Amino acid sequence: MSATTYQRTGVAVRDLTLGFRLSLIWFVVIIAIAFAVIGAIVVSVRDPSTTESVWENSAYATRYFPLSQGIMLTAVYLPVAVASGLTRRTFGYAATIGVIGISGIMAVFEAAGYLVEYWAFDLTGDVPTYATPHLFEHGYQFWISVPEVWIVVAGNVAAGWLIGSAYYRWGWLGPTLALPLLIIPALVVEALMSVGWAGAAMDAMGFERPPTWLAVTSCLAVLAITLSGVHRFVRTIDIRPQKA
Amino acid sequence: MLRFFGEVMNLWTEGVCMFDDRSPIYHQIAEAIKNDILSGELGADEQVMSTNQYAAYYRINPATAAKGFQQLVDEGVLYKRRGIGMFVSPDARRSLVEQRRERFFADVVEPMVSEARIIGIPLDDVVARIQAMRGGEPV
Amino acid sequence: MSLGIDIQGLTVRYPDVTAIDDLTLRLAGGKIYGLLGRNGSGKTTLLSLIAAYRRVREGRVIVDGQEPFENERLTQQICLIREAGDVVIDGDSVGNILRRARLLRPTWDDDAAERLLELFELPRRRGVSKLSRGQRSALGITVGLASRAPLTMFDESYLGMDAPSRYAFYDALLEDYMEHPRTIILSTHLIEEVARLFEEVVIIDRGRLVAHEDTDTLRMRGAAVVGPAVAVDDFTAGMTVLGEQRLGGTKSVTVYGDIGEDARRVATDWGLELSPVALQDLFVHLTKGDHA
Repeated sequence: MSATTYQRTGVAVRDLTLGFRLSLIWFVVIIAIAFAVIGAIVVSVRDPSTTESVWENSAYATRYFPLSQGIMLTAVYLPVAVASGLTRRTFGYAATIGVIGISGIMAVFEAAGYLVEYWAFDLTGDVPTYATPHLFEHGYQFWISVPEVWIVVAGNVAAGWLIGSAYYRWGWLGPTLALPLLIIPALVVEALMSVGWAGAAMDAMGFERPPTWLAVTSCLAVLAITLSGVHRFVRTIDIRPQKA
Repeated sequence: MLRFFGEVMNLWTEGVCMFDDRSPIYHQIAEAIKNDILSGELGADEQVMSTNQYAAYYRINPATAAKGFQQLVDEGVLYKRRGIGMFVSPDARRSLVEQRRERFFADVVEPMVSEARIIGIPLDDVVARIQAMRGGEPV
Repeated sequence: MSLGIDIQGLTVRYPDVTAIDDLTLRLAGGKIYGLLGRNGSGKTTLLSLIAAYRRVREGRVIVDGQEPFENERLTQQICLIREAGDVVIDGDSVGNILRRARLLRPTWDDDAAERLLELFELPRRRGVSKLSRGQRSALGITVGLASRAPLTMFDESYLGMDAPSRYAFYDALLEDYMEHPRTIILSTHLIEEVARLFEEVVIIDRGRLVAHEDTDTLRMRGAAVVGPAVAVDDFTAGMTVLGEQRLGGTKSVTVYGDIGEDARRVATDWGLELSPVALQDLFVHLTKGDHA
């Protein structure tokens, strides 16, 4: 990467951060409040013998909201980037960093939630139990929960970036038909990490969860292939004519 | 300096323009400056507007203005002082007057006479009108 | 600093139409060009290729010796404003859009941007979705001019702007160009308004080059020959006739091409009147025909 590209990627990343900052902050605040309220309600009405995690359900929100952000990346920012004199390559670097950044934020957020929930249960001497498989056993193990969530969310955002780019490039029909294919990166990551409904499906079919080191490294490989593939694809996209 | 061209208003908004489509604009620029020299509004060795000032004032491409000025330099009407600008040649007025005089009969009188013939105005009437317009001119 | 453009055999095919048809064009750096063409003539496509908005698939586009597509050295020096939309994200504010341009345009001039904001009365804090169409255009123009890109292109960037704002744009453009000479291409329909700003004019029609001339030369190439029908027909035989009109025994024929001194004398002798044609009319004549 040349010095120019490096410097301009930095500018684009800051620009993207500014653009997504507000919606991310809102999202985090809303989810945190919502789950605090739900948690309080559950605590007050629950059967004291159940110790099911409430926070675990937030995983859907923290996966699919960033996915929608990923879908918007190309449609919203590529035309502006090119019109501002950025190359698609530089946009691609910035978007890649954006994908990793957004999922990183979600990972920290999720891990913090598990941590808080663990302490909350600990006050009554309970330990939360999880309905879906995780790499970590206990909520306080943020050194495991952060990478787990990071990888899973990144898989979703990367798939979102791919989907959004395909829609920008080919319009409505083709990508809609190809949607099952475009979502593959997210499904593969979820299956390998045994989370989400892809993970549940694997469980149901009786597949053993692969060893953690294998799951993590193969997920990172899938992520790398997806991101570099989308990056290459994005570099060929024409900016659309303006709507009249 | 703007005052010298001030009689010619040029407003974008009204589409009014000192330039028309009859001849190249650079040519019209040269003619306008010549007229100012002839009428005495621009004196000998007086500095004329820079091409950029001229272009900005009349809202034309500076290259077009420069072409008009260059024509005047080539004809010896203006001279350049490097780094300062363009000035009216000391004998510009005299030679312009001479040129116009040479062209006067061919450009003005002859077409007038032929037009008078076509539309049937007797030449005596034309001469009479000229006599009447003479006023206090020295003969 | 200004960039020259060299286009060779450029062709762009859309599924239903050939937008650019084997176009070859060379534009020297440092001039103001007028790009004229009817709707759908390929102006926007052409400019989009020069600005690396689109990839060249047939032929070549060379700017300053290199292809601009995915060429960061060039793209940061090339600025195309297609109306205002491309530089704008809905939800952005005016100030945010200028901030982005300042960071990404190495030649950006903050003072110029400030002056233009004032000129067009654009509030810095206003969200772009609350701007009128004319204000959005003015914002695009502000970004385009203050970017000071060595190759700056405006594609019908005045839509929705009233006449005084457009004239303010032309004035600002001219002033800025004289202070910072660079290559500027303006595509427009409003030819009479801006014709005097163009050093050269490029006319394209159905993706093909129709004319590329010094503006003055092009204007002088058109002439309306008016007089008795027979004499007019004789005189214009063999000339490129763009159009003709007849009123009783009098005929007016618009011709395109150089008319020499001798021919002019002949015309006078035959009692024909030669009058120039406004650039706008010449454009209409040169680009008329079936646009199915």
